[in-house]
Amino acid sequence: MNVFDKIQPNSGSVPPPSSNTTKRPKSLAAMLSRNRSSTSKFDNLSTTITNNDDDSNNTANTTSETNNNTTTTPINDDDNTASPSITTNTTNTTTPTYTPTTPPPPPPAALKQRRISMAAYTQKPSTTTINTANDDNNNDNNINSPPSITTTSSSVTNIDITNNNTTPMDLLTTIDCKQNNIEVGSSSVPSTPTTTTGSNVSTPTGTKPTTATATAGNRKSQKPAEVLNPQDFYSVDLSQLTYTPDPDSSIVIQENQIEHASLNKLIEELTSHTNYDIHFLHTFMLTFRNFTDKETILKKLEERFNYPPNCPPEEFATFKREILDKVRLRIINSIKYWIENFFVFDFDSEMMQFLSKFIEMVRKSNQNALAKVIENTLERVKNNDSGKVITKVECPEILKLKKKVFSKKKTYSILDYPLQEVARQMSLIDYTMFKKIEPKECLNQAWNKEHRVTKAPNISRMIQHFNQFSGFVATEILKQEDHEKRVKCVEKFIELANHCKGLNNFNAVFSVMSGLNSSSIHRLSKTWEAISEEAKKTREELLSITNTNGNFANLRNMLKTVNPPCVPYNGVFLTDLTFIEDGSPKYINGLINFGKCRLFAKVIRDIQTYQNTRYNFEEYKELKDQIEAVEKLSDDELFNMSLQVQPRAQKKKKVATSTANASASSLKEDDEENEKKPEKLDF
Amino acid sequence: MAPKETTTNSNSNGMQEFKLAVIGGGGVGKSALTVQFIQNIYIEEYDPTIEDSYRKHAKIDDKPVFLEILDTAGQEEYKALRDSYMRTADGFLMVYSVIDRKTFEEVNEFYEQILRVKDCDKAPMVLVGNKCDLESERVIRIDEAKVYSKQLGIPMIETSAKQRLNVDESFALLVREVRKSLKSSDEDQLTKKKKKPCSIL
Repeated sequence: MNVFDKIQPNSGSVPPPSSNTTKRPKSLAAMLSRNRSSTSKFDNLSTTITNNDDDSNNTANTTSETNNNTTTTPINDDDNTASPSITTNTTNTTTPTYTPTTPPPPPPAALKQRRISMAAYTQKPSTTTINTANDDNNNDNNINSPPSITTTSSSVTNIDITNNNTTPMDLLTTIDCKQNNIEVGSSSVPSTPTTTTGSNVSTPTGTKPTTATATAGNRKSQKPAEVLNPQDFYSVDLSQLTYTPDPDSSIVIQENQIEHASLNKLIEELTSHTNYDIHFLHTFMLTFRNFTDKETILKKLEERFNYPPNCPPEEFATFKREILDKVRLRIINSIKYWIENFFVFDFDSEMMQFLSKFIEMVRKSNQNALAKVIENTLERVKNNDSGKVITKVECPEILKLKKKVFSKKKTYSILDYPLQEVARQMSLIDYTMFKKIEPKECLNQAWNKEHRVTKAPNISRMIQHFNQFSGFVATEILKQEDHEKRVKCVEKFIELANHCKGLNNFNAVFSVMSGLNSSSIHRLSKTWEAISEEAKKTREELLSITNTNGNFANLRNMLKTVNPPCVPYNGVFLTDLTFIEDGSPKYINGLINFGKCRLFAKVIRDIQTYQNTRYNFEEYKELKDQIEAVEKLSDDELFNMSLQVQPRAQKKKKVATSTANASASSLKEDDEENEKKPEKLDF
Repeated sequence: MAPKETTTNSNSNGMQEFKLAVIGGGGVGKSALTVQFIQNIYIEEYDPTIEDSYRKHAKIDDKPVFLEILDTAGQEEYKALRDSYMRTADGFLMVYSVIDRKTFEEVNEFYEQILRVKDCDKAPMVLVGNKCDLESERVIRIDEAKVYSKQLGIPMIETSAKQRLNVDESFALLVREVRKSLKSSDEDQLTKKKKKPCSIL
């Protein structure tokens, strides 16, 4: 049986959260719950889920069933794969029959799950002692069948498993993540795809005391009766810490993905001590500008860093180790990711001041190592050390202009150069502009607003160049002295566009083709008839790329299979972003529509994919300068020239040119008819 | 002759197929209008990247029609592409926002450009004043828009994409205009004395 089929997300059980939320937990076990929701006071540190209705009836069943089947899958995380510093302090329990020695690779299916567990890092499980009330031997089948590996729950000291129905497996794996650069993953259970909005909110470790007590091995790192002064770990006076988390109803999860959530809940997710989801981090950092600003995010992370210890002093050490340290580490890692990916964009001088204060606060909280992580990241980013090595491959030789000795020409047109080289230089120029586009430019339709030049400088510059070059194409054709030269010129631009296509520069293909398709050129039927058959065929092929049918289906398909380097035509992305923006609400029931953010992130990630690979061509300055400085005439000038080249075939009635001089003939429409309500409408 | 880019007006089943372009300045709510038309139900996450995002079967005046909506919202600044986009469409919704005079004034530019692209003096168009729910911010009175649309000789309608008011009606109006132009085009070929309407095929 596939365990995923059976397990509900966040399953784990009794009692219903409401029964316990206000009481202080009797033991830390509750707060150590690895489930997404627990009933302890520390719930708000773990992610919680709404809609726990309809569970109460079958809680007991759910409990036993899910417990029996609870599995977690160890996974190697990005940064901290089996880092030597990850040690399981105490293996509280495991199945008697299976003790993994190394974390096996996760099953592919598990990778896709939003919640990835890291719970089964058990490096020294050998000395495990189990004294549990429940021996769940009946689920050995599940337990022993990798890749779904049994949870290796552990905790530090003697832990009361407070629910008779709870199996030891439900306890949290303790990972000693002392300020190493370690991410702590979640150990929540992947859900079945059919699972709907978070049901089964509960905790495996309920309120009823039981006899299940676990003592454990690996005592090396065990520090019983550790007493710490909470104030030592906060930069502000504890009495000032007033953070109150949002209620569980502030997050809606479907199919293991966050659909809507409040900002506080998103921050909790981002820095949860149980769940780790790199995709969520990517999406969040790419799109938070859609619903808030960078200053707010930093402020929220600071609030979260100063999460108050709502536990008696004697439990603080455990709280700190099991929750606070992990949360703080996640905060630092989130900021690290943020700096690494959005430094130039978000961290202006004002923001750097905030960040300095933040680092100061971290340091005062006795977290020097964490402060150091941020400082080192900053240092590295400032030195522009991306850590990536670009292998230098020799680029093809520049195809130079063969200047004819007897030519009277003093200046050369772009079309005098070898067209292959023109396409290369155009691609270099376009890619350089494209590469600079930042995610922030893509959100809130920044490129389409009044301040587009400052808010979306790179997108704007690219569009401007696009229009300029398109106008140049039309200008160049109409400037030709006679029919033959004009035909030749059109053929050359078709050839140029084809070279651009060969280089996957779709931006240039669209630009050249839009010049050829502009009214003033498109109408020159005599010219079009005269171009070579080959040029006609090539034109057809190019037009199929720019064809808008099926939502730019041809272009989209080409982009999917293209081999980088590539400069896509940005307009399609911009339309997608516009429709994502306008097609769905930013907030749903007052919560941030995070599903929408995921759609945004998908488009932005596509853009980033194409940004990654550069063209390997040498710059041909003289040609490049010329391409960048192309000139064009206005549309009206071009159209007038076009009419001179080839006058209209038929007489055309004067068209209304403005409100004032609209021709009387166009007034014939009956107003009433215009306003007539449609009689039959069946959509 | 240049290759044809326009859609055919009927598919293999004999059903009419029209490509309708939604035209207008940035921020007039074009995309909202399109989404409301395509999606009958309120949707939390609209994914516009798939092929059928802008297609719809409809029945207008008892006759079925297959519509492909060309809405290049977001690409307004790619002015060089407007001609290409306009050429492929059979009819045009020219959208302005009733709370933004600039967008109303821009309509004339689009109107002229459409006629130039189509190389004729009449094309199926409908003038659409969107955001009519924002009554308190209104700067374009409906009378003014009516006078203007009369001058242009095209139908006019006010809509609210937000409240889903007159959304289907505006597209239906345009479909009727396209059908009308096809009909007069046929008549034209028979009588050969009226002025040349826009050839769509």
